[in-house]
Amino acid sequence: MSKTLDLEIIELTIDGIKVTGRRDETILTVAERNGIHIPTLCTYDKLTPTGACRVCVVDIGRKDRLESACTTPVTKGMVVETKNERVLNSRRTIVKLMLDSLMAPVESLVNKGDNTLLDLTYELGIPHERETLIKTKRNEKPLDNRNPVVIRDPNKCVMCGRCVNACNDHRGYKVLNFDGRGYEITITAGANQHLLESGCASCGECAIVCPTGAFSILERSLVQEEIDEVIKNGVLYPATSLTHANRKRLGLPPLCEYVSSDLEKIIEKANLIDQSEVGKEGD
Amino acid sequence: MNVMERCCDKCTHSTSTPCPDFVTCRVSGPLCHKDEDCKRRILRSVEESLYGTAGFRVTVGTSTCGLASGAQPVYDTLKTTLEEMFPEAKLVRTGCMGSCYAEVIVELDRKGYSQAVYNKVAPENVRPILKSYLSGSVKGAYALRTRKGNMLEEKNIPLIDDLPFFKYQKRDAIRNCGVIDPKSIEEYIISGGYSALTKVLKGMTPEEVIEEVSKSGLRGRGGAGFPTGLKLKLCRQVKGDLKYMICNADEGDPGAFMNRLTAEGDPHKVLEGLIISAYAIGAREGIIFVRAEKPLMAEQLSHAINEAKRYGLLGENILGSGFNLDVRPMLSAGAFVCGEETAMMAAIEGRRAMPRPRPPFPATKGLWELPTTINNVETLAHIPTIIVEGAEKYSKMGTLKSTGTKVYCLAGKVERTGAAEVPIGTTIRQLIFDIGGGIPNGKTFKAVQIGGPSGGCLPEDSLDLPLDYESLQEAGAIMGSGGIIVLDEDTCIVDLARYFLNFTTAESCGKCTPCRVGLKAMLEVVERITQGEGRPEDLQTLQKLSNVVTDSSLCALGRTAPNPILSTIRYFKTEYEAHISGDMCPAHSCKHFIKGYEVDQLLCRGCEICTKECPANAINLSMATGAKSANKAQINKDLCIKCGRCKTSCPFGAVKEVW
Repeated sequence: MSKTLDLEIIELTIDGIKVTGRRDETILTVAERNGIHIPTLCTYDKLTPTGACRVCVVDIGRKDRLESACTTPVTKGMVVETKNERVLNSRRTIVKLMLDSLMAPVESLVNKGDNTLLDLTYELGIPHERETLIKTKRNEKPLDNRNPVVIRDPNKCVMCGRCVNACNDHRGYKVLNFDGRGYEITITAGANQHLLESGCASCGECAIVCPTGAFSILERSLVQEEIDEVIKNGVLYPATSLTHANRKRLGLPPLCEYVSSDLEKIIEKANLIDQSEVGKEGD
Repeated sequence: MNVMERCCDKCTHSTSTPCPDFVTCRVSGPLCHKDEDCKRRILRSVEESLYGTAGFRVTVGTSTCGLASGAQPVYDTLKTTLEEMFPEAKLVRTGCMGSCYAEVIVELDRKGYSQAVYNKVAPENVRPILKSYLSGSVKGAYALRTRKGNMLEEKNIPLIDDLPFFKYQKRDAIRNCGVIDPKSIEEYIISGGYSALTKVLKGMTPEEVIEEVSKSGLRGRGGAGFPTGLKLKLCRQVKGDLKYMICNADEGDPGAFMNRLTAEGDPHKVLEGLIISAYAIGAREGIIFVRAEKPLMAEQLSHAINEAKRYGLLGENILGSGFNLDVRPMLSAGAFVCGEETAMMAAIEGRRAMPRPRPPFPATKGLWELPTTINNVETLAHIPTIIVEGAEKYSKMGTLKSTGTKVYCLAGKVERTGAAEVPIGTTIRQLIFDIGGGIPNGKTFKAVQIGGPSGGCLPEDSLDLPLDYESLQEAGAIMGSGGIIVLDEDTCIVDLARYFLNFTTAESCGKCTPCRVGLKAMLEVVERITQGEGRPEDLQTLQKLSNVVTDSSLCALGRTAPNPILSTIRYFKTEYEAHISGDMCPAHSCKHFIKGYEVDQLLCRGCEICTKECPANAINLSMATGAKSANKAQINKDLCIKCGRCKTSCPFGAVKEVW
């Protein structure tokens, strides 16, 4: 496709409003620019949209399906409805299904920065106390708190895939990935290991992007002093910065880029974990 | 001399300078020089590669299905027996003719004799069959492929084309299956193979090839039915010198095996279709994505690729045309979702097989972000015929919107199981009753599941529906891969829907929420119904969830997964209602609805096996009312836990369920 084609300005209608967009833009981009809000979950600023969560589904006039606004490019004369009954029904059901498949209670889904899933329930008016659509809970998995900076609670995960996207495509560490199929799919680190043993660089990007707090940055970590010292010495961990979430809220860029992973040193200093345990098969 | 060898030193051809009329040259050549002696020699080599030196060809169907029915011991016995009785005979392993019900199939073909097909051959039958055939009698044969009229008992044996299973078929994609040796490129070439490729490379532009395929009206046989010509055209139009042509041989539907059958029985035809398609779009690399669980299929395809490379039909400068193509097989790890093309490409790239949203379509951004065309095995197998015989002839078969033939796999409660290729538009009734022979054991037809786990379940009223893409879609099923599962009165429709939903739930890749969680939620409801805990509002819940899953799933797996539920609710609502409010399973299949067990006092012999088996001590021996002598077992209904062990343990079949 030639470049001129991509830059061509086309007209379309979103929720009855005539708007314009470029051919290479998605419905979500065009809608947001025009002040039309479409709720999203798996989409995150700098990550490539994957269309995984299906919260942003919109009606583009196809009888057989709804499309995700975050991935569908705009076309000429497209008529998009973002809030009709069909869309809202699907969207609500999807968020309900997500919540019902969780082991953790909805109220516990708190993340310091971007609290998207909990926000969504308020936005879509989904009561936290209601009859669930699904009774089977996923197998409960243990909290992974061996890593002194990034804590992982798989029971809060809704499989939006942001962390995988961030770890693989954005950061390029390729530590996190999906494991299993169907309902029992999980996010796994390395070869199904603890974060600490998985080759995780503790960059904290997963915790920054996680909409439920399944990945989180330890707030008042026991090793704070040691970490501060390491940061002072030039080995920086953006995720260890307690102010990170706040900075994001203020619209500031992340504190610093990842420089080197020297986690063992921190652990040694902090003496947080019995050395004999490191490297052992996870429980 | 081998068919593929040079006839003499005068021949100027080699793999680097092949004859442009490769096939004619090989089979009735030589074309580079005139020599009657060479011509004779070539004709003899053709003869010999089929019949051996003594004019006797023995074939055994050794596809996966044949092997499962015990073809290997038959083959071994044939080998030793022939060594003793007729050492010059040519013993050949072929693919499967599609008639699974008749496996193991042995075919005897001696020059001047009628060609006889024997079914259900066991190793001990081998010697008598051979003996009687060689003495001039076709006694005991299942059918004759050709009738020469000079053999004993011939009149009593029908011709194979008159057998109901074959009579209504029009075989194109699988016509060589069970006839030629899939391991031998010579036999494929002798049967007319690679002449389409020669024709294309000799004098057709890619555009002409695409035009021909478009005119034929061929549609993707993988399920969705996208016009193949258009698919090739879209990819052709994209600029770029690196393109990929992929053959999707990752067949994973329960009850569908047409791709396996095609590729195992005639891998070169698939390969030829792939090379022609690659030429049409301008691809330089081809990949055959084949299921690792079908090892023979993978082996045959890899072997075909190597053979084709050896004779210059693949690689650099194919047949001197300047067209280069490299094809490699790739083993899939086996996921149902790989039928979705974007997931398949992710798997080829070495990533987790998860679909991505389209657009961009593979034609513009496919494998490694390069223009890619993906076609199913069966689609590709049709392409050589279209090129050789012309689009017009092909488009005359089938219906107006869906032309040509399609292989359907008959499975389940049907007399003759197997794969049958019929023109599209053949009715379901013809397929099940005329070709399949109806329902076995005097049972009655109940429903038919078409299109695998993503398809729909149609009732008796739909039997006269033509099997084409549009009609099926309208009726709530899909063409899918073409798997036809026939169900009789003993099958519980709710349990069937549960089975297919369970399959898709387990095979969901887990990427998008509606498919991952929505299907599980639906499965929960259906399971609840089959366990007698259904609620009045359950049907509505299922319908609502189905709508959301169908509407908002990311890929076709999720969008079609509720089909079995939706179609069964549409056609068999009463059966669901019976489970929910009637507290019974009309088909007497869901174990939960068993009210208890009782002992048939006439059959019971008082052996006491059941009393010992019963974990609840609910069975005692006592004198039955009216019985004169022996003690009979009696089940105490209050103690019975309905485990069914008495029924399974009773050697006389005296214990029966009470529904």
